[in-house]
Amino acid sequence: MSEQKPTRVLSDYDLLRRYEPILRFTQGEIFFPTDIDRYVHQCSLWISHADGTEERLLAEGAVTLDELARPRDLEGGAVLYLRFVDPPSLSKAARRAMKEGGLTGRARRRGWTPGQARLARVGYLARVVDALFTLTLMARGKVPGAVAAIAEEESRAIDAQGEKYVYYGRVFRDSGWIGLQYWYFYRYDDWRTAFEGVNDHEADWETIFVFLYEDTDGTLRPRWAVFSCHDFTGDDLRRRWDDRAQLALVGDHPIAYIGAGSHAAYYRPGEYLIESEIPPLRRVAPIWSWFRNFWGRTIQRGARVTTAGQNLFAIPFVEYARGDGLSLGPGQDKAWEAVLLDPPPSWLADFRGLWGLYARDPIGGENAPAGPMYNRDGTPRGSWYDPLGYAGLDKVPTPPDEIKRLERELTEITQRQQELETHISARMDELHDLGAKRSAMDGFPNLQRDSQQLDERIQTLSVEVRNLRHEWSQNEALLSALAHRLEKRRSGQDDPPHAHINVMQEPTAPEEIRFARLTELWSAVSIGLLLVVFVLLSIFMPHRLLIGLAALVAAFVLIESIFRGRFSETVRVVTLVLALIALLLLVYTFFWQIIIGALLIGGLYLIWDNVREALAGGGTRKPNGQPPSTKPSA
Amino acid sequence: VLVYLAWNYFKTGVLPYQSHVELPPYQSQAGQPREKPKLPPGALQGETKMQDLTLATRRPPAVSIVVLIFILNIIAAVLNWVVMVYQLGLLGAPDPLGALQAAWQTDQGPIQLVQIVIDVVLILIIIAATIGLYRLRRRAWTLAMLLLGFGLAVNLLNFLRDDPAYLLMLVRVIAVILLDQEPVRFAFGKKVGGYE
Repeated sequence: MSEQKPTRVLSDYDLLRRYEPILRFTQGEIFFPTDIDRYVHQCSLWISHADGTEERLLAEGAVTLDELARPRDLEGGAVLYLRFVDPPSLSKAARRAMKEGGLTGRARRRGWTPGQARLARVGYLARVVDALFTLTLMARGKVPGAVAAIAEEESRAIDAQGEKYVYYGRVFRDSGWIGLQYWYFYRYDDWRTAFEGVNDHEADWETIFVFLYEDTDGTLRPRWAVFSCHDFTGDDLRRRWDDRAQLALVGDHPIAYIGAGSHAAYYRPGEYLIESEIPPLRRVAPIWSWFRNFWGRTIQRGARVTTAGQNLFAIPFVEYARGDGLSLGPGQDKAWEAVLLDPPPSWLADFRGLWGLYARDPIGGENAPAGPMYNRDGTPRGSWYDPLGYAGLDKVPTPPDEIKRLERELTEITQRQQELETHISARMDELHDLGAKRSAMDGFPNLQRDSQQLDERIQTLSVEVRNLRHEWSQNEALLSALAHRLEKRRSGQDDPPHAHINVMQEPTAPEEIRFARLTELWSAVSIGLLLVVFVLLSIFMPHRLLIGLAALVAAFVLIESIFRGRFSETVRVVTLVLALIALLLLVYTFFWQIIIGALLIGGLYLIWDNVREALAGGGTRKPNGQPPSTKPSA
Repeated sequence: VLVYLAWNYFKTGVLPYQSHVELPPYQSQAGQPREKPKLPPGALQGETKMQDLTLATRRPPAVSIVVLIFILNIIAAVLNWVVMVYQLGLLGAPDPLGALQAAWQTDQGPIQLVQIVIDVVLILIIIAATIGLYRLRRRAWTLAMLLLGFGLAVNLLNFLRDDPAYLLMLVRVIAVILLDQEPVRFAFGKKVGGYE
């Protein structure tokens, strides 16, 4: 790590430059972080009215950043948005693209090769959810397939005038932390059409943070890096600066591996199996999670619990963040141009519309995002307004601050302990006095009322003393913990670098499967085939539909398990489920017989056990002839 | 089965799901610590621990019970098969081919003949599973679970058709529970049934 300068020496701009991240892309990526000026100039400005009609406010070439910021009166439900690809060019370009060899496969032509098929990496239920999701794309709004191809073409045309690799940065100071926030603007997100991902949308804003703190000697020390990744927030997003296993650095520059097409940032290069949750199914996921835990821990004791595909109600997608493409940043293929957002320009603060096409997708994935400050619905974006909360740092003090806070806590609790000891001692005195007084009242019926009042007072005081002692005891434990922590902190010991992480995103190794190509093919066709056979069954064997369906599902599951080398495990699980059902049926059918039988067995066992004990003890003498010792009376 | 379980418990003090490898406890004789019992070479070295013990030593009692159940199942299936063959007039017929042709021409004949063939195959599979279970072969465990699962599925279907066979269902449930015990799975190999 290079020598740090005192805070006052570095301007905000210098700070941004000092720690600016390096972004490594995947081969086949075409859209890179760039400037917004030329993009906006290429766009037209539109409004989607609440009644569904669309109106063009500004034509292509007339839109500027100042125009974006101009206040506009919008009715409720209206959406203001930019449009990078205009409708007239759409149909023309689509026809041309079709002639040139189709709209798909653009990334492959640019050198990208897909990894193991995503559906081959997950189970049936996830595939069913995926099939449903694919079907919904027909019904809900989406970005037309040709748009990506045209966006690529237009983007190339802009870059032909001069390539620019830009980030927009800001520096904020909050609760001792100095946050450097880097915003990256991409003209298009072609994850779905180019990289077999979840969605496509025009425009994309992604962010990366570096959090620093000022040490006691006035030097700045980087502590955390936070890479934005889809909709994830909180502690799991964060990596500590000294975590070499997770955070790679070139000098003071953290390296982010960017997901192909989606532009989500990852700490390590590789392929990530990610789950895209479907909002209506979010409520089902915890139930499934509970069942899975119950099954794993209670029924399937000691069973292997895999991390992949845990949430069966989410769509599995593979994110390619290989880092084998263009690298941007200091000393890399291309260097950054930095733009400081201080003070926030008007386009940032006043334009709450979308930065690209509004596709009318109710789930939102195909609609363009709003700017760094806002969500799609115009509400404030957490990563801008509450960056500490976004990164899970709202509860984390800076290291020097933590020591101060620990010392203060220790002092306060020590004082409180002294107070408690005084209180306890005083109340104990009083209790003893009352106890002595109460004992003296025994045997005097004329003092019965007074003795009852005294009993109540003693009871109240006892409870009070008990609570005080409990608090004292808890404080002692807390004091010990605080002292231990303080000692560690003072001696420079840090927590394990992953202590704050609940779920660590790691690149997935390809699933070990037999007959790889055949399995991929099977995973691609299985759900569709299941649907077709189900329809055939319902036509030709309607009277045995249920049995046929059960047999069909069983056959599919067994075939799948053979491919995955889990035949034995699958047979076990299926048989256990059947045994469980049979057991429940038996219990239901013979409930009273079982109860009576259990009582009989229990009774017989008690008799046998007691008789055995009596016979074994049998004697009233010990083996050495001594009489048994007298038991203490209860 | 219950009687056998009870007898086994009273005799050994060990339930089928408890570890079956019982080493003699250390005892002091005349104040001298007893010499540590010698295990086969490599017996406590991870993977080879179970393999170095003899089959009889490492066969859990639960497996013996399941083998017993399977033997009873084979006897019942063979008897059933003999009765079916007898009913079709094939047993002891002087002209077996002629008897076969005659049986084929009856109303239920073809179905019964197919069932006889299927039963023979099933009996052979059960025999193979039983021998494999006895010899603690990993694939036999899977085969046994498959057979039990198939049998339970048939039981459940019959239950839905108001033709329940509760005793058979109970025996199969017990067999599944016994085969799913950790020591049993361990005895059949580490990876059986996802055990780790």
